[in-house]
Amino acid sequence: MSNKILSIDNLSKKYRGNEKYSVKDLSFEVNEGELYAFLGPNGAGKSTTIKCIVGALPYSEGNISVCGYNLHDNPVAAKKNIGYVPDNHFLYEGMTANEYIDFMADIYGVGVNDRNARRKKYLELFSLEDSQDKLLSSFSHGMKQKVCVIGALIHNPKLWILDEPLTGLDPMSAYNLKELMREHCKEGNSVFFSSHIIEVVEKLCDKVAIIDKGRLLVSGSMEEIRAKDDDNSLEDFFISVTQKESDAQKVASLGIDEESGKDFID
Amino acid sequence: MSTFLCLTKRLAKNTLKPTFADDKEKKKYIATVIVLIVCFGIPVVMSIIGAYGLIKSAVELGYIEEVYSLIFLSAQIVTIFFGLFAYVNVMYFSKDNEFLFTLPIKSVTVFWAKLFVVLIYELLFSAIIILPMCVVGAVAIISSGMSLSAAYVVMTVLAVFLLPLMAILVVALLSYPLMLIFRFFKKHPTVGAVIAILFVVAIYMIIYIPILVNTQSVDVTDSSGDISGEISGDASTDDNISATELYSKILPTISKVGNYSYHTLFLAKSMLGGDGIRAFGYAMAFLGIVAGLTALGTLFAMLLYKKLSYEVLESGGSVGSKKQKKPAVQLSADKALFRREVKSVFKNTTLLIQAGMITVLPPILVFFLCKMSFSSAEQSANSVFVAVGIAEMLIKLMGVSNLSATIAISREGEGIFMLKTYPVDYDKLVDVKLRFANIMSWVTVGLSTVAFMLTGVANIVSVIGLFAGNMLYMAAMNRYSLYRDLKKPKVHWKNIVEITNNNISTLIPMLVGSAGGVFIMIAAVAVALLPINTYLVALIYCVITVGVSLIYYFAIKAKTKDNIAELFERIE
Repeated sequence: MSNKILSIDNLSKKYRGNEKYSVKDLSFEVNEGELYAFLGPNGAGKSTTIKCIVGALPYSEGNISVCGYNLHDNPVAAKKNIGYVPDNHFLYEGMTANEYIDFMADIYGVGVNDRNARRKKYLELFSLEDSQDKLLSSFSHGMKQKVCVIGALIHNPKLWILDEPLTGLDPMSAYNLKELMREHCKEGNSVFFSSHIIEVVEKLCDKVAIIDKGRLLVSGSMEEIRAKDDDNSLEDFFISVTQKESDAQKVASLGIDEESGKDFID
Repeated sequence: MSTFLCLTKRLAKNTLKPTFADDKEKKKYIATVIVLIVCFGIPVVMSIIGAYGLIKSAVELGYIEEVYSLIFLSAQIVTIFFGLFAYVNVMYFSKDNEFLFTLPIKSVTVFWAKLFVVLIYELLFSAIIILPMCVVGAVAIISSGMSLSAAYVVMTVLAVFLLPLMAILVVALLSYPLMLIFRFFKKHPTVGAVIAILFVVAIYMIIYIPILVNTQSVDVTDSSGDISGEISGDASTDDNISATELYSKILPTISKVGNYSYHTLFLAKSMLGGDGIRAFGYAMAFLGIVAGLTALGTLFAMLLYKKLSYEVLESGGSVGSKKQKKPAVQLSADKALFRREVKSVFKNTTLLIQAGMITVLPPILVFFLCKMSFSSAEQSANSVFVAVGIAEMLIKLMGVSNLSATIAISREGEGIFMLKTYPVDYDKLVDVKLRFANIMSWVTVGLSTVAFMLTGVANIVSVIGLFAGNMLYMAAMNRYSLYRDLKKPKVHWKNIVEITNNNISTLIPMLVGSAGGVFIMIAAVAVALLPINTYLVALIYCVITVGVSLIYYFAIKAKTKDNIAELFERIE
């Protein structure tokens, strides 16, 4: 049986002042070595879920555990196992790339030898060697994204979480990032990422979860999803499950309990 | 390196360390810093000279501990005044909170790291007051024949760090009710802002009123004490009493204020109380208060800091509105831009607080300070124009800090690039910003003039001069501030405080604006020394204030003739 790296149990999130839930009764698991994609239309609740997992937003209902540590009870231990690449790539622009990497390594308690080895590897991979001592304020969107990726990987996290990671990357860097995600999983870690690029998800991932309006519509391995949907492409499947008009029909035919949004495959 | 040190170092470096595009920019920065040191150095040196005489007299008259207590209290009030805005921004509205909360760091560690960054910034203000005063105090004390112990040096060093720390912790505790007010009035942001500002004003009043009450009891008039004739127009300058006589009359009052502030009195007693157990006891009492405040700050941080920061994150740093969507109405581009400008300030909690403070504080300060100067200064005809001078200075100082103009472009952040894509003339964009800034300033000038009238110290001619001069002056300074910001905006920021930190573009208009204020203030007092009727004095003051404002207006108009479109285009 695989080890659970991320376990989400009945997570619900309502923003202050909002009557509606942004995420409701969300449950799924990411196991060791899995590359897990999180799909959903705009405003479906993907970023909210990710922000709850990484501790950027509070949640009042449900449980999140990372490597066995409950995020609510033991946030520091849980976060030590996460590497996070946000969609808006926050960086202190008064720092150089190297200073940022060192800062992240210090915060996660990475030794000098390990950090230097990883720094060298990733700076080369993303062709940032020449820019490592330049201020981040002079970096392009894509370069900042790469620095964020390096900062998130500097402690070799068990769970690497990325929110829309391919946005703004050049083709070579996007390819390298995808390879890095695969490699990270092969080393016994897990990757959980959100994306709108369904072709990438289809080729890259072991498992996928689709949410809409804060509810989980479907989750499972790529094979299971293909099998349940007459071997159609993931894109067709995604569109069919998220299209409001056909939701009920699709959900009914696949056995989803529409009220609870309960996972139908696992 | 511990997480706390690592985080503090990085945050401090990012917030406080200036970055330069090239050597030319660095040289320009250094030159401006030298000018600033000279500008601020002059009043500091003058205060030190004044403090020497005061401390010497205090030693002779036995009020030395109380005088020290008052000096320390003043440093803390300055820290609280300048620290509140910086604190709220760095703690709650900084864009790095979302990032920091994802890191494996306890929220209390984040709280203390950020508090230290604010503290480092505030240390500059308090060190300017505390350190020179303690050095000059030591010289004055020794020259008076009194001896000093090693405790004086030790406690001076501690005072430089601990007094601003205490002030920042007070600010931290005050920020919770402030944030709770905003949370409570989330759906009525303007009401929330007004109540928050009134809360801050009330806090200042709590600190200020006892001082006002104490200082009003001082009697420095000559034996006749009748000033009614002088105010009504029979200007005459009485013979000035000597400095020693003045100190002997002022010091009992100062001692009352010094005694009222227990924590600074304990510190003063620990420095000046000799080597014995008594001094040690006072030092322990002072350190105990610091420790208690630190414990309270940590406790509140554990309970509330993360919770309130999360709430700000969830609301995107903006204040919400309950108002129902109005049906769409087509507006002209000009009106639409103006509406956007108003909303960009009034829908952003940080900007709303500062705009509100800059609008509300000047009239309140004008009222109280003018009233106080009139009652505590040597009461002659020229004390009327001391009040006029104070009002002039206060309005101008606050006016040149009008963020609607000083950071008109920078506060857009990277959103400025979106603004550049609009099919609207850049001149129009700047025009709208200037109009909004002027309206904000003119409201402040209007309210301050009313407050000045309510003090009842000056005649109508002075009031007209104050109003007309400042309306014009603000129009000139807003134009200059906006132009400077447009010329070199800082749009890549994570925390709005970063815009003004190490930013020469915002400092220069403040210096230029304050210089005019100082000149008019001195002129107002100097004119009052002329042996002429008060109305004639007021008329001359009117000519000076309006004249200076006109000179500023036309000089600035000539200086800001650069092509707006070109400057806008250059923003990157």
